[in-house]
Amino acid sequence: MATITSITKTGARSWRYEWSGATPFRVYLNGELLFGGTTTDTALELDNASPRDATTADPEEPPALEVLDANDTTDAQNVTWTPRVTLQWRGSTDAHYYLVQESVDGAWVTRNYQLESGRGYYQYDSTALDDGESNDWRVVPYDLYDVAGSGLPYQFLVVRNPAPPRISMEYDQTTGNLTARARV
Amino acid sequence: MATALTRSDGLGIYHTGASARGGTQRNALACLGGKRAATPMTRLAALMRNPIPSLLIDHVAGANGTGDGLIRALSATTLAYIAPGGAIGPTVTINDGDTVLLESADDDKAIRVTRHGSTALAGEMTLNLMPAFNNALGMSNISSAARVAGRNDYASVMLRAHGAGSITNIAIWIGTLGTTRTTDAGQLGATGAGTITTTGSFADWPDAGWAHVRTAASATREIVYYTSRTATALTVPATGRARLGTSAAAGAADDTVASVPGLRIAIEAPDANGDIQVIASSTTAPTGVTWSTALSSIAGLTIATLASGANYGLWVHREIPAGATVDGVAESLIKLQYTADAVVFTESLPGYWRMADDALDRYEIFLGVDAEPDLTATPNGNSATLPISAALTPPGSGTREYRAVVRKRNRYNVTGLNRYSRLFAIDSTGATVRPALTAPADVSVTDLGGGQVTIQAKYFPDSDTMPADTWAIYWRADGVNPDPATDTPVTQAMATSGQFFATPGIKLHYRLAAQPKGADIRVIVRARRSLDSVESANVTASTVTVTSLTPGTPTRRQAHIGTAWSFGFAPATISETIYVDQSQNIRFEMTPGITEFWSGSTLIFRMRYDSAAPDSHGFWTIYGIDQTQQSGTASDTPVEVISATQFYVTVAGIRRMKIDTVTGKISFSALQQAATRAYSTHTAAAVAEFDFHTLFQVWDPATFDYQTVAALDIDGIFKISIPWRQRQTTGEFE
Repeated sequence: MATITSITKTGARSWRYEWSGATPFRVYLNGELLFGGTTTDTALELDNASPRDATTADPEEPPALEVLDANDTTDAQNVTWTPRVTLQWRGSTDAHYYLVQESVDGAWVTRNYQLESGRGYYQYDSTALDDGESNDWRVVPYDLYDVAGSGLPYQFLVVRNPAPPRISMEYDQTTGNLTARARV
Repeated sequence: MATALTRSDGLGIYHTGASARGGTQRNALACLGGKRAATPMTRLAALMRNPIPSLLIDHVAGANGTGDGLIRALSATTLAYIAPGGAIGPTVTINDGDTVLLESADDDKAIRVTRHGSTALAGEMTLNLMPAFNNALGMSNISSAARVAGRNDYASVMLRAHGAGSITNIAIWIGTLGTTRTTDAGQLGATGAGTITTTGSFADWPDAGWAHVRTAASATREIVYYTSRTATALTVPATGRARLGTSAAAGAADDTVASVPGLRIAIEAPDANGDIQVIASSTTAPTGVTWSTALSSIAGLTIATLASGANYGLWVHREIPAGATVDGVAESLIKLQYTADAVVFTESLPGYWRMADDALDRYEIFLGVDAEPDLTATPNGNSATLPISAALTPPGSGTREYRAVVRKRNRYNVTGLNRYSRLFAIDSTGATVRPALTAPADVSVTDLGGGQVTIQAKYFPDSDTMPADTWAIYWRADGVNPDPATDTPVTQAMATSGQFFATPGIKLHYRLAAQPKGADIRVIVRARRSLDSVESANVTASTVTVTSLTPGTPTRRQAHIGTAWSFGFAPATISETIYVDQSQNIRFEMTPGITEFWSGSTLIFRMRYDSAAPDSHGFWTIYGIDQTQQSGTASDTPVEVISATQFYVTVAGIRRMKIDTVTGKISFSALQQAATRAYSTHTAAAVAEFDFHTLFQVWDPATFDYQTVAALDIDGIFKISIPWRQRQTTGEFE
């Protein structure tokens, strides 16, 4: 395993990481291989705007990068516990397009639009989903006149490395205790 | 043509629990016996990344294993298959409407496909084969309460000779999950807790699970559940003894031990209708069956002959002992062997499930003393909820630094990967040691005109032993000095790109949102250290009063001669080319009522706005909308050029719109038809940043002013006040 030697804040939402270990490195974030192969880079700057919701990304906590080096023989945790889901469906000849929708607080929110192009199978690769979420999704076919067919439901549980907690820490010199609290 | 439902595909495995024989019953967790369903048991799932459009994958044998398989079109009507890690199999002809069996070089590894359509086959289709959670064998996940109390689950599937031929010599047994070892270094006693040790290695075994202990003669001695292991030892609690119908017995040095799933299996001959018994629920055991935990085809359950169209029930019992160990990915595995068309085939039935431990759903705090904490060690404290505390022990003398990290662990024992620590320094009395920070130098506040105010400052990190890394900007516009004790600052990281040459200093250049004329701006800039939130102590405010604000252009001009005549005017006009990247000729062209974005000779979009002729309004483009949120740190410009065919529109330094002329997509979070008036600016620019929005502007020939017609916000939502008009060609633009 590579050793992350420093994490430095370099902007409102950007951070610089440095690490050491045996090249080549593989660098993962949110279930994705950011780069790898023969690279010998030992530094990276990125922002912590998660693909799912940049506006709620934490400006005080850097993204949890996972760096593996040449000595690592096991899969990255980002692979074993991937937060990303691929929905696959077989196209319908009567469909003109498909809407991929996620159930959010009981309402269907469209996440993706795909035209029926005759390619047979279709996929939607989700962004990084939250840990422990029981997810309800559906793919709804529409015809040329925007008439919807029956949705194809998907339900699954996401188990991933939990996101960094949004906390602040304070040391109380009267009690000698260091306390981490939820940050609003 | 390799015929479907022959050879390895001759033995079907189906869900049970159908309401009618051969009816649909897709719920893998409702396989409670009774009638055979038409729904086959999922063995492996296949993700098709580059499909050959007319091919439909009907079935994937478990023997294929996981990884990337490949279907290769060898001609317009022929295919061949390569299983993961395998070699290419025989060529198979497939015409429109045909269903065929494709075999890899190892004929256990096969898939069944159907062709729909007569378009000539071409290309290669990658099948990413992966195991399935909660299929009929994986059953349901185990809750924390069920894990603590223990639980038994039962399910059944139906074997069926679903082709024209009979299936003979069927053998079914439990698969192993790791390398079988000899218990030559230590064995269990006759009863109670203990350990099993080997001079070999358990390194490829699950971290917790079931172990099948057998005598040197391969007879079952006992099946146990181990709650943890090392590379050479299995720890077995008292409750882990005598599992899956076995009895506790003392081990021997020449025993072998196999890693097995917590399963035993039984077969049931169907009645005259082809049905088997129905159990009331998944926790109700079937009756009258004989369970087997055999680990080989020779010792396994057998069915001599399954005639064409005949069924045979297969029951599975999963036993969870009380107090079992959490497992985020638990595996079940059954193996089959059978003869079809005079060939012996071997098949695997994998299934996966999860087992929760709610006590692990918690926060954990790690402390490092004068070093980063060891995040693999036992945490210094844990709590199901925040806040979470840990005591810091003062040094005998001098100063001690603690670095703290809080991570979240979930109920499946998966922990966060964050490792960014916070620093706390204390002295021998336990008092906080906070090295002071020097104040920023050369603080200035400047009225740039047009309501724009900029704040500049410098900070020299070498002046401090623990330097600052953040600007804290306190400002007010009401003529009152900000008070750092009560006011909330704007914070901005001290960017390394802000370092200026020949000095070790860092510069601040911060621009306030547009201010009204007459605003009395008071500013205090402090240096802050985010590790401990210490700020420099300076309290002197810098001030400036906004003296100008660029007004909007007057409209409806007229000039009169007396009361009899008026002058005619040539309309005011503009013709501007604004280069984004002049070397690649990427530019905006602004003419009255029209703003166009060009890359060389490619017109990417045209915005039209004329308040006197609204019918022509529109965001004209040939590219389609892709509602995908963009992210990533961008260069500090509203439009970032990646290449002549790829661009990003940024908002507050984050990529929020991607334009790709190769894929033909304009990607952003969502399109919203909305008024953009609230964000309008009179700035003479095609694209301008304003108040966490990036604005798209057109010069309105009716009012002689710039009008915001679209705005990309910080969430990547593209709000347009003109219609989105997508056309096939730019020639169709108005």
